[in-house]
Amino acid sequence: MTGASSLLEVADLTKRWPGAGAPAVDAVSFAIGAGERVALVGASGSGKTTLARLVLRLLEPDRGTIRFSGRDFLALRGEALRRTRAELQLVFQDPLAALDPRRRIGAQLADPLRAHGLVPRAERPAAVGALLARVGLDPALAGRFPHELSGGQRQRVAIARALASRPRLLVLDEPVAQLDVSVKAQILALLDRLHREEKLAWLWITHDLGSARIASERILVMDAGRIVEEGPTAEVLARPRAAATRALLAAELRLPPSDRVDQPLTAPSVSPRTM
Amino acid sequence: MSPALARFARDRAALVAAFLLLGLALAAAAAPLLWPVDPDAVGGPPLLRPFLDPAHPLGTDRLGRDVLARLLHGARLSLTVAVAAAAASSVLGAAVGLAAGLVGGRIDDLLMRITDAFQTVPGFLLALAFVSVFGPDARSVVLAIAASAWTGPARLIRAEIVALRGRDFVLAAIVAGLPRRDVALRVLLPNALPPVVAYAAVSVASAVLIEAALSFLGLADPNRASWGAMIAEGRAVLVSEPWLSILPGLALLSTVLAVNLVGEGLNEALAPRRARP
Amino acid sequence: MSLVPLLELSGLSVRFPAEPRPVRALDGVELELLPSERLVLVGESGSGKSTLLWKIAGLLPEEAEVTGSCRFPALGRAPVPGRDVGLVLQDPFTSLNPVLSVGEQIGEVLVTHRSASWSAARQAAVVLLRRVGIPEPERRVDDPPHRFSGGQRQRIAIAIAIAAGPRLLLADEPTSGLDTVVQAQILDLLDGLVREQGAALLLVTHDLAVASRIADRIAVLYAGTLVECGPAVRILSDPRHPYSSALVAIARALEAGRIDALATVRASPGEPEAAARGCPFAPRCAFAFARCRVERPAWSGDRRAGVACHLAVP
Repeated sequence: MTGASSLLEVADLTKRWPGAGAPAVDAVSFAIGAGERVALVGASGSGKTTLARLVLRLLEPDRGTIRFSGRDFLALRGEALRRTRAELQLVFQDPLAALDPRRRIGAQLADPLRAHGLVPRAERPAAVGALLARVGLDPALAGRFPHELSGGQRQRVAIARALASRPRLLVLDEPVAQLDVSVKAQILALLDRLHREEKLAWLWITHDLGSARIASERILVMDAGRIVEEGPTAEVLARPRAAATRALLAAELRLPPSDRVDQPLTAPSVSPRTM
Repeated sequence: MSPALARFARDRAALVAAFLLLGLALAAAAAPLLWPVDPDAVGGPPLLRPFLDPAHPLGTDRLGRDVLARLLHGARLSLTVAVAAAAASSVLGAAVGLAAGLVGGRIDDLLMRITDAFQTVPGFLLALAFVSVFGPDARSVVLAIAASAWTGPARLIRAEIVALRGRDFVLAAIVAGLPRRDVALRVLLPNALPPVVAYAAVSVASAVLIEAALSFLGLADPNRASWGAMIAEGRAVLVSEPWLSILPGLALLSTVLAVNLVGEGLNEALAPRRARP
Repeated sequence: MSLVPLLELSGLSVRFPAEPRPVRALDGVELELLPSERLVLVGESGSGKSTLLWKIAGLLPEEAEVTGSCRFPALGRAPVPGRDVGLVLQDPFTSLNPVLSVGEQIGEVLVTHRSASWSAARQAAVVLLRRVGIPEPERRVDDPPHRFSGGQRQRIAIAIAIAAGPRLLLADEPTSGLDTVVQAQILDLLDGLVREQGAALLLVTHDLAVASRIADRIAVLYAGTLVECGPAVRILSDPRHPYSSALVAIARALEAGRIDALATVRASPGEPEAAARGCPFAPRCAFAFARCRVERPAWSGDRRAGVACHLAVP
């Protein structure tokens, strides 16, 4: 998947925090093809989030290159950078923190439409309504404030905002980690549908192998700032080579196999006393 | 009714204080109509006690001037000067704080060192110096108070901006492609402003006090009735005729208290709402 | 069995006064916990699982309106918080006092509840820190919380909770702020400690995988009502309430990486809230029929196992 066809190409990317010993991101190289779904997994402190911020240029690296759609992304400045951001979007872990508490949902969804001149002013309310509908929300929510929505609704809004500028690559930083199980399932299904409909590529950052299994074809395993293992998700998780991958797999909490029927089926003490 | 206003209305103390201030402001504004007596004219016998003569309900001072008229006109001066000073110091402070927080780097350092320098001089001394140089008219009192009070809002708004800059929703606005100006004015400023608004309300109270203190020391316009000057004049006869100091003192106390309560109420009401856990 | 339950909840309801109408956080919960039993309460946000835990810990705010009973029969008296009941909270970054050393925070419990001297309490703190797996406890007992990692802080919070040897350990999402590797370690630590001490454990989580690692029994809450309760193995292999079975199906689909199996629960119309009548889950239930919307299903079972669903065979 590397080479001229790659949508995103990262090489030798390095970032050291001032005063820190080891770099947070240490000579990382990888590529994502158009429409490809890649997971980036690792324990907390492995440098996943720093890498995401570097890729989005919310942080400047000490060293390395980023090519996006064939352009030198790190060389872009000012207006050119702002324009290119339309194609490279971000979804945060905590949707409540990612939405401005003082502005209505509609205004926040209109931001990218206005910033990139995608929709004339008069048509923006309709476009905002269509965005909400696309992520399975009632267009009437445009008039609400973020704190008036449930966690799942907020994450849908954040996804709608990321999709508004028709990006080619989405960086998702633990997008379902803070959500309830049933909501998590809905958001995973929504993103899967959007990937199929829009040929969206993504870099899905998580410490949870369950969502990596569902949300990626290829997986990058990060440990202490470096990528220690890389390959097709199913293959890497079935035959892990790096110690970090094995540690993640060993720690994964799983339900007991469902065919196990060694049940002491009735309650241990159906005492008449309690009836 | 906006949610913030509704929350403010639920705070009983702040609501009562707001109505009290509103009443005071209206009375001050309408003083010539409500009680058409010249506050500077000698209209009766000197040192008339309150509640004795319906022509002078709150009595007269040492020169026989009507105390009620002087209180109302004093309110005009106190409130105008205080509100103007608080507004001036907030606007100046917000501009400096916003510039420092947004631009960062050397500009930030420079602006903050200037702020430090102003803060090391006690505000009242600065105001004193200012008035003694520029003369005791109302405008220089406003400038004097503003010159000593702008550092508070400047530091406050800079700290808010710096804290907000790393927040997810600000990063999200940058990633969404908002131009820098929009990020500053639509996202950062509205979120940084509420504590400054609350602070401005409270700084009205301190401006009222500084103005009174300057008048008390005879450093304000001697030709206009002012609460501070009334207290100072009453001091000469404090033992025999205490009401001459007590009445303007009460006016000062209740105004400052009301302004503080309103400020507190605003602070609570403007805090961003978070969802229930 | 003639064991006297350690904890017995009977018709427990909690309401919070609010505008425009009070919020019903818990509605008629029937539950018991035997000494040294490990019960996991599973529920999503708004299910009332934290309210239930707070009620048992005695932490409900004054304005909460509580009906029904919450008793400790095996204790024979009201529990002393911190001594009879220990509590571990979700966020180890805020649950520890940043200005006291970890030794002082553990010692404080022993001085208060076990009348220990401060020097004895410090010795005991070292032992407890070792027991919860903090390396070199002699050297680290005087360190403040910020010198420890997130996982270590949660271990310290657990040391504080078990210091006085409580009969019941309560844990509110103790692993959800931690990453996968640390999560499993903390659960195993909790499991080992309650076994050693013979204490009962009541753990609250939204994650069935967490429950499966540690639970003897699982109780599933939805919108303030108990919808199913029973032995963990049975709930995980043969859930009877549509909501529990959806949770199990989703957890299995996530494990298997099967996206097609995810859409088993309808989107919530908003925050779940106890309906005045009818089954609270009916608006999201794939199997709901007319009766579900008008008649609330009664709890069939006892305080140890049961289900509340018109479709479920008791």
